[in-house]
Amino acid sequence: MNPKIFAKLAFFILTLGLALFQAPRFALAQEEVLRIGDVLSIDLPGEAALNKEFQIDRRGQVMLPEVGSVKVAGKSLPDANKMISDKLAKMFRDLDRLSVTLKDRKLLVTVLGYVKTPGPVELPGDANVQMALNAAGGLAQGAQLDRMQVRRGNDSIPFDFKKYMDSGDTTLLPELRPLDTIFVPASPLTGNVQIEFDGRTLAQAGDGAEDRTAIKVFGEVNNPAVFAFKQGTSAVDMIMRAGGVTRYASVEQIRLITQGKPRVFNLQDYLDSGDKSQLPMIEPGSTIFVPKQVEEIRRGALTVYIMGEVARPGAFEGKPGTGFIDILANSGGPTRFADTRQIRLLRADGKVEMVDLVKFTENPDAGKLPAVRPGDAIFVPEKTDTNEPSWLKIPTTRAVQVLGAVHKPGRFEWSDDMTMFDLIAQAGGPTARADVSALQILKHEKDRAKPVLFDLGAFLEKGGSLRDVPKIHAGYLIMVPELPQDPSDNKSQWVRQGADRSIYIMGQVGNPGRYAFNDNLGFLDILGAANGPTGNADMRNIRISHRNGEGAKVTKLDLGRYFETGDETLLPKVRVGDVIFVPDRNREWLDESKENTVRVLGSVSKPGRYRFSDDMTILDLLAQAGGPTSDAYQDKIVVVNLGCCQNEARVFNLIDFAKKGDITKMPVVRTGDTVYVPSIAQSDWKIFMDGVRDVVSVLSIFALIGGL
Amino acid sequence: MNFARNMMPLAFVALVVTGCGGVSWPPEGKGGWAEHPRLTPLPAHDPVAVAKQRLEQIAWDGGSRLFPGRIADVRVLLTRAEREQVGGFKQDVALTLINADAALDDLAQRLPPR
Repeated sequence: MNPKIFAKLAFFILTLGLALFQAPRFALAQEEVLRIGDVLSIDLPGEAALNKEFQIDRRGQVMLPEVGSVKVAGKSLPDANKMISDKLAKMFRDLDRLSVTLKDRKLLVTVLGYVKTPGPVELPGDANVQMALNAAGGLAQGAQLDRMQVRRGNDSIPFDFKKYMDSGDTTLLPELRPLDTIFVPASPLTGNVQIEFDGRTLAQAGDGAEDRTAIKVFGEVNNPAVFAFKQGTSAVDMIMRAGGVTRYASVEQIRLITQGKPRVFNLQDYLDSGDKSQLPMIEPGSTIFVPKQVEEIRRGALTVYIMGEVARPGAFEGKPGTGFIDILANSGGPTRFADTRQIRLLRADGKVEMVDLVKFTENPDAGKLPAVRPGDAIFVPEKTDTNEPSWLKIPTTRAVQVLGAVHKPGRFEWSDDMTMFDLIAQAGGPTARADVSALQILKHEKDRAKPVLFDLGAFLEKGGSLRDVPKIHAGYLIMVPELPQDPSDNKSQWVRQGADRSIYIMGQVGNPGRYAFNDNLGFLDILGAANGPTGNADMRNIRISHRNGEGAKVTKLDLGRYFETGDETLLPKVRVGDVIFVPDRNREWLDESKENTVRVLGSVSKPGRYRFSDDMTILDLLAQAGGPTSDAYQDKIVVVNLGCCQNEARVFNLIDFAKKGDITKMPVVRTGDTVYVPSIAQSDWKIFMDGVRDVVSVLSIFALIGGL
Repeated sequence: MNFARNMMPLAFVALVVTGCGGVSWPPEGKGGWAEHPRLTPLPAHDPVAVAKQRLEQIAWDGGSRLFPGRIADVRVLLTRAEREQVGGFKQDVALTLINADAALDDLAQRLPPR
């Protein structure tokens, strides 16, 4: 063969081969089927309305301007070109230059279930499930990863997203098609009620749910739960997933049930030896139980036991030479409830010895402690009130009764060696509400009883001779009275307070009434107890009636003076039974005695009786009476002085005083005096002029008679 | 005219009688503010002045610290005595001074021994 011919033939064959190789590819492109979400580009020169991109919607149509929709989904691109051209021919011309090309592919799917923003999403044409989940905002807490579904029409394709996440194998995920729905189910662990929960807490509680292959880990682990099975997991891995063992776990006795067969896993041995043959591997559906450590009964050749009312009862390992006190101290010592006089030592051979620890502490030589041997037990009993003898065992001739406001009233055995203070102490002492100022002691003398009062409060405060403390004998009764609840509000209780312990305060005080009192208290105490004087109180004229049985005696107190000077000696000594009266400052004038007032009469604005004191003057008095009136004869104001021995009068020239200010011409005014301001009609000039008028009248009459 | 001449003496007598008649007033008072510092103090030998000196001595000896209220009460009492003295009420002064002296004796006894 001619080489040239051979070369041409070879070129022809090569060209034909290439053409045959390209032809199917072109044919495939031409035959590619359009689907929902694809973006078409339509070009028709000169038509601005068409020269843009059109996406195939969820119904498989493209919406063309002026001619409406054309369904192209499922068609090849040439078929779609022809359909579009035919549709546009109704409204457009020169469609020869029309071209339709596939611009881009999009994937329209819907994501529902446990994702953050469920709904339709638009994805790139080659997107997979993970991209769809991401476009829907990602998975929500509580999503079940291994049971997701892709729904396509009436079909449902399940897939294990967790497995894909573990392996990265994209073949585990179904290929998405337009209009597919991805559904993410909820984990059974989320329950039937929608609540906000913490994913970390949920994970700690286990991720196995009701899966039959899940691994159950419980007992003395920190987070007992059901966990999903993973291939190649050991018992230690599962215990670690459960948070490890607690301090109470019995790590030598871990129970493992695999395939229905139980076995014991000694974690302690494994950790000590590192022998992997001892480490069991976990099969699907296994159960692991970590039991609680059981207290061992300790017993040894040198063990001594101590029990009862000690701080730390238990067994102690003794050594030769260990004594009773050593063991007691190691156990923390007796508690406050321990009866240390009756400690029992139980010997190993069954004998019992009594130990009086108090006696030993008082005199170690007198009460030696026994030696303690291994196997012995020390029992410290509880101190109980039942040790007290029955009250019937104490006859009346050896008992006294304490009643009232003490902490432990009752009947007590008595010895004349004791004092009344011993007795009150034995009764627990007075309560906070006890009135210790009036202890009542009922003495028995033959068939008669005689009450005696004793002021314990004063004795404790001031002291005194012990001879004054009443002697108590068997058969006596001591009553500690209680203070009244509230003397101002609780009137029903007033009878509980005897009159011989009361003081009375009346008039202008905050809370007038009857108050408990004793000789240790003073005037200000009772005034303060009554909430002090009111705003209307006349503090300069307080009266105290002393009712001490030695005749009537009334003291007047100027409390204002006390507040001015702070002179404590002004305050009267008040005693039980006294009556304090604080008068009203605005009381009726009839209540004022004439010895304490000055009468102002005549031509003043407010004639009347006015209180007066020696630090006042006649000017103060006139001002108090409203001053002279317009018809007052101010030159001759008369002061009638009621002295001890004779009555005298003086005049005061107010006009002259106003002009000159001569204070030497002010008359003396004292309480009991009378001030009279005459009217102008009583002036000398007025009287003279009246006389002249009368004379002229008489003379005029005579003149008329003479003229006749 | 004769009548008028006869009536003139009578009218004169009537006017004189009218002018001489009328109200008689008590004497002018004094001493109502006798304790005022502007006024002249009482002579040193006056009983009221003696009592006031005694009061001041008691106050100086500790009375004003121990019982200032009672000192003030006695001072008021002596003010009354001073007013009565200047006002001319001699018998009242004596009675007031008796009370004041009793109060001063009481205060003197309350003083602590020197």
